[in-house]
Amino acid sequence: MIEKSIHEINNRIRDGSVNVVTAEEMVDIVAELGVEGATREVDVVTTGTFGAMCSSGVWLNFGHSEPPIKMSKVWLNNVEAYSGVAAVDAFIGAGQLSEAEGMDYGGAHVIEDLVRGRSVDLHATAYGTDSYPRKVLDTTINIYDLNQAIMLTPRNAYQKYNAATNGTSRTIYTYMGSLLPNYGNVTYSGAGVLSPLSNDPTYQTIGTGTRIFLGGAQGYIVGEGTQHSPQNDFATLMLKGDLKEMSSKYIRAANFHAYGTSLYVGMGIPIPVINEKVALSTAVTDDDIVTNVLDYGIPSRDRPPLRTVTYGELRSGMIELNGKEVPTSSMSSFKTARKIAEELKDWIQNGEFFVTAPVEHLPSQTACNPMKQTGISPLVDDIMSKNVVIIEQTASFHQAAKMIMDNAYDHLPVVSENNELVGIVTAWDISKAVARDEHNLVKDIMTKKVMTANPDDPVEIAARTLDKNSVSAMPVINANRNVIGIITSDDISKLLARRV
Amino acid sequence: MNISQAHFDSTHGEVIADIDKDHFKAIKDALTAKGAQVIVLDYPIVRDEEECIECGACISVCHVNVFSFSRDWSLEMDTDKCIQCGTCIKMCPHNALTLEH
Repeated sequence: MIEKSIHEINNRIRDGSVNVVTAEEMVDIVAELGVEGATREVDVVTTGTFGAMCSSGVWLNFGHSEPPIKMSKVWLNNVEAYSGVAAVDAFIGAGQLSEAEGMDYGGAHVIEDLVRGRSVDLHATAYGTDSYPRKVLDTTINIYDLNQAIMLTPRNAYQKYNAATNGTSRTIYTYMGSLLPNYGNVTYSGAGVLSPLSNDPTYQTIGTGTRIFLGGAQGYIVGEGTQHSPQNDFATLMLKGDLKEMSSKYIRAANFHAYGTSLYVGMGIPIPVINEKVALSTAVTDDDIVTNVLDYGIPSRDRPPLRTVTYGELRSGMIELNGKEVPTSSMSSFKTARKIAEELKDWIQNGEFFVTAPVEHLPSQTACNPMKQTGISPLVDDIMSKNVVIIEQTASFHQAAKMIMDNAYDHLPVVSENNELVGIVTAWDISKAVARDEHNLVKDIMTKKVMTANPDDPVEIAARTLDKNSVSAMPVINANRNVIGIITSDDISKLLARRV
Repeated sequence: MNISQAHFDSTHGEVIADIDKDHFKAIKDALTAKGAQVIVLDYPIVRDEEECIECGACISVCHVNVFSFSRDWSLEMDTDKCIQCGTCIKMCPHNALTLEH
């Protein structure tokens, strides 16, 4: 069994004899020399990833104003930063949106503007105290004017991530990009073979205090990230680095259409090859890393996996889904991940970067639990009208008109001979038919594309469907498409009125 | 002709179609006679190489395969294929794609 100490490896970095390879190159080296040979030969394996990391942000210290202010609210280019700490500290988060420009500009853009040395407008308000009398402050700052700009990311560098697709009949816009209807595409994120945590999944060398590449500068691992979930290979990291030293090559703001803003963060971890077990784990390939394809069309925390897939399959550009070939897109940049692994390799070879042993290992037993919700979230079944009047598609349009008149309902779900929902008829459809003098059967005048709700959907989901499709009522159906009720925007208004 | 996109509401409608050069005039005249406005879309998608990070998000949403990766994972474009549907513009997380008219 070969063992190498961190000290020994750092001595080689110092005298220039160190052998550094990227995690991509390591695959072939282990295949060629075997694990033992590779352990002897290679001292450090570098990794890299460059993708959307929404849970990122920066602590800023502005210095004290004259007269001093204890900022209670702070905005940078109209994006609010959190300042519920001491007088002139604030945390700007990547996902906070501009109060003036909405989704076009957010905290991520403020961070990129700072990295690029651009001026940023600072506005702050306060309640005023004896020692901090000032109540309003407006100034313009850039990164050089700040005492500190410390990036501190609650959750970065996911070991791997779910691939996303969409089984609904309309395009949906997510943090995984545009997902085309009817499983029209699949998107994924992560660097696969170069993924930092996938190259040391048992955290033999990665932990609190590990020195890393962050945004083009040297940074550190603080410890586990939020939602760190090692048991299903969804480990995450909390990272720290000096924004003043970072480069806009590796810190880039992003806009996800109809979702919000995010920050692309470039990071890489050097893995010192201290023993054969580490050498073996750095030989991981795209084909070894398995993830799930999830239907993001399901607006729920629990989305059953449609299939498992490897990063090798995802990166081939096409995967099979429900017997169909579906194109895939990466949301993270493999080319930049490779650049990061190469740049980190250069730093180590040039003696500019030394590897570390973790002060603490990352926890390997924690789980990411769902939220405890004490408020009862009403379901469609709780508020829908159960005495719904339905009509058969072979009925005449006069019968439909009479039914609407008699029952004072605006919407009539239309069913087939088997009692399955096939459409909906509204007073509007009838007016149209009258205006055109088309006295047909219900099935000729009904709207065939009908939105539906399930009885066990939360009311919020039904409200969003009504809103998205600009309709005021939806039949509620069971698994056999039998109509068991109807939910209207009135029902939802009443629910909200009762709550207030 | 091959209709790639169609949008309609109660006030107006829009269809994007791929039309063979030889039939263009006849189809254009027929549509214009019915009151439609015909615009030739011949300014394909433009990529801002400074903003683009070459993630490839655009690849899977393009129905006509304008985008692809080269062997070194650089993003390549075949703009001759572009039908200017604009789907990739919304997909791009870095606002690197635009259609200029």
